[in-house]
Amino acid sequence: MKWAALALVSLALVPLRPARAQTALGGFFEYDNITYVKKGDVNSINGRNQGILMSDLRHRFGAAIDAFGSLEFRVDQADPSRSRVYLDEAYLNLYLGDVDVRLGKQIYAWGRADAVNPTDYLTSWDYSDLLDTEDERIGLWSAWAEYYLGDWSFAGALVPSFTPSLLPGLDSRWWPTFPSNVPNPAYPEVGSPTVPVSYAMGDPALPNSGIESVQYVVRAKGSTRGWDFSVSWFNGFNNLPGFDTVVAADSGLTAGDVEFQLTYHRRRALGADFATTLGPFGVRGEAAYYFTGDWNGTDPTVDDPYLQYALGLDYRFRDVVADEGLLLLVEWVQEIKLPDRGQVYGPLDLQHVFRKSLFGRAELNLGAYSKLTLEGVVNGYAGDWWFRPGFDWSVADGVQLIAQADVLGGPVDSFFGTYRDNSRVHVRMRYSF
Amino acid sequence: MKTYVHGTDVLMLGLLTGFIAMQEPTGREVMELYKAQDRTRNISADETMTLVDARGRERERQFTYVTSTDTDDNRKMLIRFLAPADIAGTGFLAIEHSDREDDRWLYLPALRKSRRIAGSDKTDDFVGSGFTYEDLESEKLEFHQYTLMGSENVDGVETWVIDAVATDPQRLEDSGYSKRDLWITKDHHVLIRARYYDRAGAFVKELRATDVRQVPGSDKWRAYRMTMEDMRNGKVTILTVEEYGVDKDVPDSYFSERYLKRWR
Repeated sequence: MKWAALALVSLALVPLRPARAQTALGGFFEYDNITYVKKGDVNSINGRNQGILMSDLRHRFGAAIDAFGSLEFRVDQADPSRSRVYLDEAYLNLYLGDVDVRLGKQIYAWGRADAVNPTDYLTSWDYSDLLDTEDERIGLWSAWAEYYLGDWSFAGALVPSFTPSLLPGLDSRWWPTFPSNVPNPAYPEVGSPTVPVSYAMGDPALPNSGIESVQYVVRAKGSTRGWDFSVSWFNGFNNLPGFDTVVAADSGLTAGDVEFQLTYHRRRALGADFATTLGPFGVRGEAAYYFTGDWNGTDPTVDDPYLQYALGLDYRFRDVVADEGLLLLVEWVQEIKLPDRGQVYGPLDLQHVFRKSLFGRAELNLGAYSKLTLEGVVNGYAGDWWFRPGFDWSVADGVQLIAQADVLGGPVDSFFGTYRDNSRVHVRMRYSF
Repeated sequence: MKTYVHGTDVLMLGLLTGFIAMQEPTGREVMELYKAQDRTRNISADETMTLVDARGRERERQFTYVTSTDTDDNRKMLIRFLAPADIAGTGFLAIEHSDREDDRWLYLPALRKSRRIAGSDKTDDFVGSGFTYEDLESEKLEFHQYTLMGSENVDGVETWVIDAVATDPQRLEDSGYSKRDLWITKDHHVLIRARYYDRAGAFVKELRATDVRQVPGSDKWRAYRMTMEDMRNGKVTILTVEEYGVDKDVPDSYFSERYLKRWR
């Protein structure tokens, strides 16, 4: 009931004309339902049935200062552990002549590519649902400043505290399935008979909280003669962990325990991006070379150095259906180990899912207020895939209905193949105010 | 930013007005009067756009825009949507160039970044309205031939009727129109009606501009209400201007990604 009361209070405070006021309250109320085609086991979460109230508050203190805060109220009946009150962002903007400064909890979104952004170094994500990452960037407590000089700008961010990406829980449908029996850890060389095993997550090994763990990023950005571009340098930590496992047997040697040990490793990266247009085509790309903490390739739990790049093209076809247009976007993403020492990635290495991957998105307008969409990706190295057909309808001003299906497939040991039983239908209705 | 209207321009305009008062002007001379009246260093407006479909259902968008025009008649434009809430904060920045493709960026708050976009076909609708990008361009006199067709009284206002046809081959190819008929008022040289003919010569759209007033603090006259009717589908777009600002002090840096993203 308290959620409903909060929703009503927020809606009652909605200003009729929110913009350019000294204070403005906005946000949205959303109903979100996911239904899986196949039920998982009785202990796993088999759907989502949630309501979200997102309240955004802006206030302008003067010409040079304003503030923004965004608070999320979420109730999920299907998975009560997802219910939360969460501060998405809370920051202060200072406009100091040619310098803009932002202080507080803020979300970063870097890179000019559409599907995968190798230069989006700072962003931590909520991966608790691997397919639903829209609006799932995690805010970081940090300081950001950008100095503007004509068509150029020079920016830097300091992130004093580390925020890991959120991973699926062990009871999630998005946690990979591991064998329920393993060779007896007391006699590993024998291989059999096997023993039943249970899995647990150990305490993560986070970076120290000292000054040596402060992350920073710098960027120079420019625009000239139809080209936008930037170069950037990052020194910080991987917000996705390296996994190690410790296997132990009970005293009777009849069962085993596997504990996942999560460690967040240092990484540095040098990156660049660009965007331009070639006639009717939009062209954009970015690349980053990651200097990881295992330059010599001796530790299998730490990434070897690698280059990741993305190159995309978009084009709008005209008058495809009646006088409606079709937007088509494709993007190629590749990862290259440099030097290549043959490191093998596991199903939990979310950073390396897209190693030779082709993304696509198509939007076919159906009048001014609705469109059919189709997006997806094919991983060329493993032959697995994900597609999402959808329908997007602006029911009325401020009211949006999205219905979509997620279909996954591929070899059983591939990334999307692992989750081939997670095909589902997703419906979302949002009222923005 | 250079001041666009020079002293010599004012002198020539005065001579031209006096000359035209004595005899019937040519189409080109009428359009020069129109252009002189329309020309500003920069202009801003708060507008409400009402979209009415063939069944009479209405949608409303509120936005603010600022444009700046340089001495080569190239325009910079920044538009920010204020309502409805699901598109509020969306921004569009366009910078025209004489020697290359125009620059265009779109800022979508949900993506949290601006995105360079390919130059739209000039015949594309502007944000789902009955106006195309071509309709929003400033009139380029050097690329058209204007013929005076006569005079007509429109709602009690005396006007010249001009037939406008693109003569520049590239412009002709890019345009969605074979010709336009333009009604220019004789008193303040404001466009108050336009009829658009598609490439096959069919009459497809009509613009009616009403509520013509002098912008406070300026010698410029503007229509505060414009209605575009599309004869092909019955859609009507009504633009209502709440406030114009002419030749305010707008720095060139305003037309940048920095301001495209900023809440103000």
